This record gives sequence, structure tokens and C-alpha cells, in this order.
Amino acid sequence: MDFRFSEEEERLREEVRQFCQKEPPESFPCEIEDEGYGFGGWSSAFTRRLGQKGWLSISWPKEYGGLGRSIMERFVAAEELAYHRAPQYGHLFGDAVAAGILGYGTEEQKREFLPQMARGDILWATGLSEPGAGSDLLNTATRAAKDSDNYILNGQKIWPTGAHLADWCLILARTDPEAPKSRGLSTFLVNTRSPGITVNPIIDMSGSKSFCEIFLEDVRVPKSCLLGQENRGLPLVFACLEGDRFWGRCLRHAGSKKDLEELVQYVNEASYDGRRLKDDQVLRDTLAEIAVELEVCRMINYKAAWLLNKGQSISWESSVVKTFADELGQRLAQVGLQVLGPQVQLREDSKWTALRKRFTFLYTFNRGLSLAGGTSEIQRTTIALRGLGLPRG
Amino acid sequence: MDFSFTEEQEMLRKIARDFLTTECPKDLVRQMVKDEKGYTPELWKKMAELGWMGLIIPEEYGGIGGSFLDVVVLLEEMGRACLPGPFFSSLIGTLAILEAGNEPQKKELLPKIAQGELLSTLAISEPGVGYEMNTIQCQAMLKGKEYVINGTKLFVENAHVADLIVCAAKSKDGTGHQGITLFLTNAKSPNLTCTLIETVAGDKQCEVSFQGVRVPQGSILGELGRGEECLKSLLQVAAVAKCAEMLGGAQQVLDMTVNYVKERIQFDHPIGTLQAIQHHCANMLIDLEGIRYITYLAAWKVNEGLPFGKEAAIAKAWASEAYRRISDLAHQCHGAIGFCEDHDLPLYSKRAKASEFAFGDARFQRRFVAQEIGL
Repeated sequence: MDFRFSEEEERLREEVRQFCQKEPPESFPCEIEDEGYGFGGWSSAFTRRLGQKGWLSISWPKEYGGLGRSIMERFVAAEELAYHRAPQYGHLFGDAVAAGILGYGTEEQKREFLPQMARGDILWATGLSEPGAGSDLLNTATRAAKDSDNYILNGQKIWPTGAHLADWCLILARTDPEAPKSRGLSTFLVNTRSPGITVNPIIDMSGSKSFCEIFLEDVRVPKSCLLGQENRGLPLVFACLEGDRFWGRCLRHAGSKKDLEELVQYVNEASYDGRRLKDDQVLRDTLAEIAVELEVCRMINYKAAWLLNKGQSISWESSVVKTFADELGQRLAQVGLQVLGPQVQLREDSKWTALRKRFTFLYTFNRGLSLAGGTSEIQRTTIALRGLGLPRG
Repeated sequence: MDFSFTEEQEMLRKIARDFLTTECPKDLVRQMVKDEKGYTPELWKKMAELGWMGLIIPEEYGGIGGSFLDVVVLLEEMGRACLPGPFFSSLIGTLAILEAGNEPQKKELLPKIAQGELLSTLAISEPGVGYEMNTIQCQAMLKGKEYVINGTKLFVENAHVADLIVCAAKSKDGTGHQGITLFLTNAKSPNLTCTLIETVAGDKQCEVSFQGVRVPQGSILGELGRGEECLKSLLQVAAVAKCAEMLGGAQQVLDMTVNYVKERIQFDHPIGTLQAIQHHCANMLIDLEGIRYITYLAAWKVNEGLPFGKEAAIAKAWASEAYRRISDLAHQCHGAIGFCEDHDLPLYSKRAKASEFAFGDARFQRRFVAQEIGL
């Protein structure tokens, strides 16, 4: 048992820390603001900058533009970036797709896509859900019909984050409507500028524009863009979902550490009704509870990262990571507003305006955390079936 | 980063599990809840033969020279088996001697402890006093060459069978500074009375009354009037050790529940197929995973000699509430059968409650955590 990071890992962390000091992440323009998942906002510019450093592809093989380093190093770099609230959203889905391409892609696909992705030149979205296929992905109705050297795609996707900003999108579509539901699905690498594609951002209840809907009308996709085998798309999608569930949530403890630090600073300085907030035992207890949960969250995330680093695949473990992180995020936002109290109505010129804005935004956006990438209920079912071996209903 | 135990530790785990499965069946546990002594000398002797009491004691004092993480493995298995008896309470007394004892004290006491011949326990809490040391009322006054202790100690675990009580009392040093001193007190001293308190879990907690108990100066453990730091650190180690025991218990509670819901048929199917039940079980596993890794983090820090106060408090804060949530859900999943006295589950859920309070409950720990995060 040893909870230290290796020397190489610590060196990389230090390098990332210095980079964040020299080139403050907040100085890069963001297309989507930090929604509180832990990995910061979406900034194409910052993603490209990380690409120049080689930090988008830390654990990919060198031959495809990667650094050939360990998954733990990739995790450590992401963790340090998250603590500095660096925007990592822009390459989150590309990371997931890269896992799919590395695991299931042809040599040509690897050579064509991965080096460009490593540089941050092309950004990705993932188009899985549909109006009739949310938690029930097997109900996917988008159709991909073979037409000589092409597939013709028709259908509708909903909720892909950043599809309006992405250059490419992974699309799950039905190639064999006659086969049993789980057997007729395939995945495609689709250029979002292809004729017949319409992408509309959806404004969510927080006012953020990150989710999209995609309409596909006779979209012609060359056969070379079929990822993996025809009608064998599901395992690949699950591999990508692992990306979404683990990599999309494993930075909660780091991203939220700063939130807690800022709330502590506020409580230490502010007074209300003639009483210093820091003397309020309930507030102290509440913030300490968040600190406890963040530390538990950190260890749960480390455990999963350690398994991945050993080359083990994770299934229910990523559902534990996701559920814990999302629900903690919701509690943190709630606690943040509770701590700020009526002060959330502070004037624009207050020192605490940024904190207030962040928490009012997080409070509304965080309702979506336990839905995106698989609801907490789906995660719990996964944990029960795969983690505990309970029988399927 | 490495979350795994060594091969030797895995071996120790297996030996402990096999041994306790055979030697500590639930009927014995149930019997011991009602038994005044609370353990059988036969089982105690067998455990001593395995070297468990000497596991944490260095070889030079007749022990095995194991690490704290070795002890964690053992405690997990004891928690899993719901082992009754004074192992845990005596371990804490042993840790106090290891931490603060001088050479003659160690030479005299540790070999006997390692042999299983000497039982110790720690006395801190008092009526109205939990684990906040500055509120301790118990007094020790120097009279000639002896100290005279007066006061009442509460929740002194297994004091009724202990040979040695490590008692925290207030005393003045030569300069008039008043502070906490730890005294090695003979449990059979005159003017010391021990009364069993009836508790929910049937664990053997005692009220120990010191009414002019005389102890020689050589019985001071550590420095006169400067015992507070030592005691604080001892309580934190004890909290981590308790978390390890709770982890084992919580794991067993989840295992029992999973087995039950796979077998219990209602509406023609195992109730484990129902999502309401599945999600209860998932919640138990999430909480358990939390207990596991946060406990290992704190235990590893203790093991490495790194500062561990914050991690210990965080671990105990989490484990205290998570284990209670786990046993609550276990009861819900077991239905009425788990409500019966003869069932195994109440043994654990009552222990969960007792463990919650031991060495500071979640709120106590969070008071400390609040300071640690800069409040």
C-alpha cells in the first residue's frame, strides 16, 4: 500500500503547475463556461495549447502522436489542471473517441485521426442519445443504410455536448434493423460539416448552451469512417462511456477543492446579522462535511485511476466514481448557496460577486450532472448488477 | 500509487478469516453479548497462540514486530466476524504504552501483553466529558511519593476484565502548570470500583470510579502534565483502528444482504431483481467503497509515520455515518427477519452504532476537520 505518486508523476504535476502559473488558464477564451463537472470549461484555444505541449495524448502510443506515458501520468496532469480550473471540456469527448479508435479503429483511422486530435486541431462530440433512446441506448433508431462505398445516415441525436463547436462526432446508428436490438448497431466517425447535418444548441435551465441536437438527413458517410465492425458497435460505445463516466467525473475532488477554499475564505471574512459566519457551528459542520466528502471522492477516484493504470478495465467502479462525484457536486452547490445566504444578491461591485455568480450557476446547472452520461439510477443498477452480482430483473 | 496489500498481509487476512469463521461463530457472539465477561479464555488463548496480541509489539519486547497496516488487516477481519472480547480495547492500551512508555515500563509490560497474559484498556471519557481533553475532571494529586487519583471514568471498555487501566487525569507539575497525565493504573487497586454499563450493543463498557486510588510515581506514562499531545495522537490512531474494524463489519453486512436478496423470493422472483432493492445495495457499496479507501489512506499515513490527524478525523467522520447508513439499508432489505434477536444482522447494526461514538462521532471529527480546512 502506498498513496504517494511516483517521481515522474510528481515531476509532470510540477510542470503542469508551472505552466498554469505562466499561462493562466483563465486567460484563454471559453466557448462553454465551467459547468462544475470538475474539468472546467470548453476552450478550443486552450485545448490547442495543451496539444502543443503534448498533453492531450499523454498516454497514447508515440506512433500516433502520443507521449507513450502512463495513464496515471495522464490522470495527474488532468488533476492538476482541474485544480487550476483549466478548461478541459474541449478535449474530453475526443479522449473518449480516441479510446475507441485505439481499441477498435483501423490502422488508417489511427493514422488519420489521432495525430490531429493530439494536436488539438480537431474537436469531438459523441452522438449517442436520441429522443427515444436515453437510458435505453438499445432503442437507437438513427439508421445507417449501406449504399455501395457509403452509408447513408438518417435520424436525430440529442444531448451531445459541444456538437456545435466540434469538427467531428461519433454517431451510433442502426445498420441492421432486422437483427436483435443489441446486434444491429454500428458507430461512425462523422464530420459535422457534412451535407445534411444540422446542429442546434439547446439552452438548458442554467442558460448555458452546451447540449445540442443533431438532425441527420441523408448524410453520406464513407465506409472508411465505420469505426469497428459493422453491427458490433455496442462494446465500443461502452468503452467510450467508460471515458465519459470515469474521465468526465474523476476530477471532481480537484475541481471542487478550490470552490471549498473560496467558501472557507468567505466564511472567515463575512458577517451576517452581527455575527461572524465563522462562529456559526452549523456552517462549520456543513463545510467540514463537504471537505470529508471531497477527500472520500478523491480516494474513490484514485482507486479507479490505479486500476486503469494497471491495465485493468473498470465497469461498476466508474459508476461509483460518477455517482459519488455528481451527487457531491449537487450538495456542494447547495451548500455554497446556503453559505452565501442572502448575500447571493450582492451588488455587482462586491468582492464576492464572482463566487456568488459561480454558485448560482452551479446550483442550476448541477441538476444535470446526475443525468448526463447516464443517470444516477442507471449507474446504481450497473453497480448492483456488475459490482454485486445481483440478478437482472 | 498502490492500493494493494502485501502477500504476507493477504495471507494474514486469510488465516484470520478462516480462524474466526471456525472459532468465532455467531452463536458464540450472541452468547458473549449476554455473558458478563464478554469473551472466552479459550478463544483468547488461541488468538494469543497466533501471536495477535503481540502483532504490533516489536520483537525486542516479545512481539512479532508487525506494522500498523498488518493490524488493520486483522481488525478488518475481526470486524467482519463481530469478534467479542477485549482485543480492541487492549490494543489501544498497548499503543499507549508503545507510544509513551519508558524502557522499564515497556520491558515489564509488553512481553506479558504479547503473551496474552496482560489486558489493558484506556480511560478518558467521564460523565459529561467525551474526548475533549481540556474538559477532563479526574484529578491526580501528589501525596508523598504517590499520586492519588479521584474521579469517575465512563465507557472504559472491558475494564472489568483488564489488568491495567491507562487513566487520563489532570495534575500539576512542579511549576504549577496543570495538564493531562496518563497513569498506568492497576485495575485491581484498592478504592477502584468497576461497574458494567448496559449498552445497546452488549459490548462491555464500564464505569470506573477512582476514589483515592494510589499509584506510584513510576506509573506515569510519558511526561507529567504533558500527556495531551500523546493522548490526542493516541485517540486519532484509535479512531483509524476503529474505522478498520467498522470496514470489516460493513463489508460483512453488505455480503449478508446481497446473499439474502438473491435468495429471498417474493412475487416469484428473488427480491434482488427489484430496482428498489438493487439501488439500496448499490448505495451500500458506494458507502463501503468510501470507508475502505479513506480508512486505508489514514492507516497508511499512520504506518508511514506521516502526519495523519486530518485523515484520521476524515476517515472516522465518514465511516461513522456510512456504516450506520449501510446497516440501516441492510435492515430495510432484510425485512422483518432481520429484526429478530436471533438474526446476525442486529449484532452488526448495534455495533455500528457503538462504533459511531467510539473515539469521537462524526460531529466531533468534523469540528477538527473545520479547523484543518482553515475555518
